[in-house]
Order: sequence, then C-alpha cells, then structure tokens
Amino acid sequence: MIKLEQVTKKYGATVAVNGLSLEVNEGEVCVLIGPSGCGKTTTLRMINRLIEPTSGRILVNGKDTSQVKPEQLRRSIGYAIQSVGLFPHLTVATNIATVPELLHWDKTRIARRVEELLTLVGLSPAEYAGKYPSQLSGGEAQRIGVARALAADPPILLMDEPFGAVDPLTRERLQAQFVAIQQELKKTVILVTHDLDEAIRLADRIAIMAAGKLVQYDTPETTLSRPASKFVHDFVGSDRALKRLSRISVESFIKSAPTVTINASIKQAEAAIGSRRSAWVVDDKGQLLGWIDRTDLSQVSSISEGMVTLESKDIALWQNATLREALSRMLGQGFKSIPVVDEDTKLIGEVTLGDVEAATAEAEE
Amino acid sequence: MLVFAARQSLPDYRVWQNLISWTGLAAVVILLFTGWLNNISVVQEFLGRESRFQQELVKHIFLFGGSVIAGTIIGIPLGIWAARNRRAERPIFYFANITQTIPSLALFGLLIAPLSALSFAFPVLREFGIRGVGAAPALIALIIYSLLPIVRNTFVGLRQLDPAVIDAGLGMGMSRPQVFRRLEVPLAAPLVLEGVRTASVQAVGLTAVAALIGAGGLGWFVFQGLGQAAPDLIILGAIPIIVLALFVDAVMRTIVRVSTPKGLATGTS
Repeated sequence: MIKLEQVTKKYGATVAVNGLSLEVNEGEVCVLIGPSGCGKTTTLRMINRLIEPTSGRILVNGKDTSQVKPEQLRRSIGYAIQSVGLFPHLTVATNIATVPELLHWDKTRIARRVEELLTLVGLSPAEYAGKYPSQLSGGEAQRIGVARALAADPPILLMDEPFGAVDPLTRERLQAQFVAIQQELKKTVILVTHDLDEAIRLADRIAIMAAGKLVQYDTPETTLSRPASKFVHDFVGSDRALKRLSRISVESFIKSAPTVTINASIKQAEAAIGSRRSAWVVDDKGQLLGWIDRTDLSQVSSISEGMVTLESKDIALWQNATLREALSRMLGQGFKSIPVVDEDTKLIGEVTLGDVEAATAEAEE
Repeated sequence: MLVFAARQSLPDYRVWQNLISWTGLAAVVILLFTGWLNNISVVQEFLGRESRFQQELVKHIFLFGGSVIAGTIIGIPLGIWAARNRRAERPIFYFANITQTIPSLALFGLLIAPLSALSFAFPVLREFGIRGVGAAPALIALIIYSLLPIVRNTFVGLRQLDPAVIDAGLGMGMSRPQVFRRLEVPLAAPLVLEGVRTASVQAVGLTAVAALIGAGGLGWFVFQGLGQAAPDLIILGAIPIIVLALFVDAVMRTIVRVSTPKGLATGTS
C-alpha cells in the first residue's frame, strides 16, 4: 500500500532521513518511533509531500507520489497532527467538512458524513456540530482532529502524535477508541509517536528509527523479545516483559470463578467455594457486588452480612483489558485474582496472578 | 485629542465611553440646530464662514480618507510580503519605522523640495495639482504615515497564526491560494482592520497639520486662528477635528467587530 524506497532527505549538510526503505501493508498500523530528531516526522510528512524527499521514491498503491499533484494526493490521505490545527474561525462541523468540501461533495452528503463521524468518535452531533474549537477540551479537539482526517474516507491515515497533547487518562481512552475504530475501518495507518507504550498498544508493526535510519521493523512482540541491536534493546528498556503484557488481552485467560448469588444460603455458598479461600458475590442478574471469605461463612447468618462490597468499576476488568492492566490492578489492590466483567458489569470470570506469571514466562521464550 | 487619548486608555469600558461621548455630542448638535447657542462666539464664527467650513471639511475628509485608502492598498501587500519573506521583512519595517519617527511637519516640509523640483521639470504635472505645496505633498506624507500601522498589523496578523492551522490546511489538500483565502484572510482580518483603524484616526489628526503647507482642511481654521490670535476660530477647527476622529474611530471599531469571525471573538458561548 505504502512503499518507501531508499528515501533520503537532506537539509544542507544535515541528513534528516537517510536511505529509508519501508513497506506498510493495507489495513496495517505502522508506528514510527525513535528519539527526537530521528527523522520520524520528516518521514511522515514526505509521504503526503509536505516535505519533498531529496532522493528516493515513495509509492502509494504502486504509484510514484511525485507524479501526483500534491493537493490531489493529500486529499486522498487523512492527516491528523498533535497540535490538531483545527480552524478556529469555523465550527466543528465545517472543520470536519474541510476535505469533502475541497472534493465538492454535495451539501446533504457532507452533513450526513459529519454526523456519522461525530458519532464515530463518540461525540453527540447535536451538541458538538455547532461549537467552535475554542469551546472544546483538549481530548475533544483531538477527536475532532481525527474525525476531520477521516472525513473523506481516505484509505490511508497519517498521524503525528495524534494523542500527544492530552492528559494520560484521556490519552488512554483515545487510544482505546482508536483501536476500536481501526478494527472497524481497517485503514492503512502510519502513526508517529515517541511513546513506546502507545506504539506497543496500537501498532501492527513498529518501525524504530535512529539518526534518520530504520533500525528495526517488526511486530511489537518481536521487537520486545528480540531487539535487533543494543540501541533497540536500550530503547525498549528493561521492563520489556511488562510492556509485552500490554499486547496480551485478558480474554484468553479468563477462568470460571467461584460465584455465589446474594440470596443463596450459607450451605450453597460453602458448596460453591469448596476448598478455595473466597468467592465472588453477584446479584440475581449476575452483576458483581463483592466477595466473601470462606472463614467468614461459619460466623454469619446470610451472605449479605459477611460480604465485602466492591465498587465494580474500581476493581473489575473489562473483558478487552490487557494483562498489564490486570497485573497493575492486582498489585494496586493486593488481590491475587481480579474479576472480569462484560459491558453490563456481569461477572464472567476471573484472572489470577498465576496466569499473568505464566504468560510472562511464555512470552520470555 | 485629550478626549481621544482618555478613551483609548480605557478600551475595556467601550460601551460606557461611547455612551458618554455620543450623548454629549448629540446634545451639542441638538442645541446647535435649535439655535440655542447662536450667541456663542464660535457659532458666530461658523455662521460667518459656513461655506468655507463645508469646503474645508470636505477637503479634510478627502485628504485623510484618500490617504488611508491608498495606505491600505499599498500597506496590506507590503505586510504580506514582509510576513512571507524574511529578507523583505527588515527593510520594510526599517522604512516604515523611520518615517513614523519623522515629525509630521518635517515630513511635509521635506516633500516640498522634491515635488516642486518635479513640477518645474515636468510642468504638465501641475495640471494635475502636483506642486511643492498643497494637496500633493500632504497626501504623500499622510500615505507614508498610514503605512506603518497597516503594514505592522498585516504582518503580525499573518505571523501570529498558529502554524498548525496552516499545516493542517496544506496537509488536508488545500492549495496555497485556498489556504490564503480560507484561513489566512479571515483569521488575520480583525488585526489588519485594527491597523486601518489606527491609521485612520491618526490621519484625521495629521491632516490638520497639512493645512500648514497649503493643503487646506479643518486645520486651516486652527492655523488662521493662531495667526490672528482668535481662539474662536481655533475652536471652530479643533472641535470638528475631534468629532471627526471619534466618529471615524467608532465606525472602524464597528467594522472590526463585525469582521471578527465568531469563533475568535472572546467569550463566545
């Protein structure tokens, strides 16, 4: 889909990008990462010809980009940047409509598309379409920026630290949303970041750059388990094992957990716990309420009396969480097992510390 | 001028200032028309020179209006050029700043010599009113003065734009002219017009000085009055100049406000 062949960019005597070759397949997320000044942003901007390479070729869909008019090329490639660059004098709707308007779509089609995109990025069209950029929070602005980049449904998306300028909590939410949107849209994405965790979380393949050169181009798993050089080894850091956990979903580690309903008798509860130390307590709809200890059972007359109440949202994991989140939850709460719930906060099982350890060891191989 | 300076220093209370200055003026105008003030000496002077007054008022408006329009036509492209080209930036501002520091009377005087030389060398120019004294040197000097605020504000208006906005525009496939028309013009317009406003108000005052080199205008009454030690005559020139400056200021402020895009206005809800 996108192919860079021996691309070099020189500024006077300094070489920003040095003989870079890179291929990104259709529907793949390629993350360009490296220390600042490594040429990752320059590389990104050469793809839509905001910067012209000094030598080498860039092919999009097999076509040499230097043969396409820059404006035409850019209208077929979505572009989202860290500082967002929303047009402050235009409404959110007009901002999103930028490329469709450049392509002369008719009004009703544009209006429909704007509504679709706002819904896609999780903002209510009725509330946000008429707002001005100055009225948006950082996270909202970034989402509008992504919506604007997606407006004309380009097959390719270039993103330069699209989640850079927001607080960590918002960033995590935006990343999760990006993963969900990408699963649906299957765009070919090239994303620049300096945040390794972001790269590991989002990338199908990570391109690590240093001093204008590509030093490793692999899946996150391979990059973490088999760094190609000392530089990559140092770059990914000593917590590689921990980082790898954020590539693994808890879904395949969920086991059925001992469960009792709140109305059950003490006897039934004892049977459910068996030889284990505790059981999760749910209501009659299956939603998680808390947990109860085996040793407490003999001293109380009902489950609700002996139960320790839990705030489901503070402790339980969603089924699409990663093992890293599971581990951090376990360490934070001092639990050896963490309940997993579905969208309706219904208990579906648990993940244990033993499973996380096993997964770490396995990935270490 | 003092009234104007006081107003300028309190931009936050614009509504009140306008109310105060305009109610006061309106009252005076009403009193004038009803003939109540006919016994005041300034009014006596006016009644004696009504046609001359109208003539000089028109001349004044023509001089300051013409110079600001010409200054805008020249100044905006210069400002754009300075903003786009780092090599042009310094000489343009060097010129504009130097001219601004020359006292107005000196600049008027300076222009007399080359213009009269020119009109002697090419007598045909005199047919168009180009002489060492009169409207020609006055217009040229006033145009030069109006350049700095307009060039400076155009320059700042373009330079202060968030580079990310331009980058996003280009990155999404706008052509250079589209970026100019759709982004730079609407975003810089309020500041450019603010520069035109400054130039206009300044030109109203400077045009008064132009009377000294025979350009006419309301300043004529002031200098006549000074020469004859007739304070009424001075006031007959001075008050309309102040009123004109306030009026131009109010009109331009309205234009600036109207041209400010909604998303840029502070406190949009």
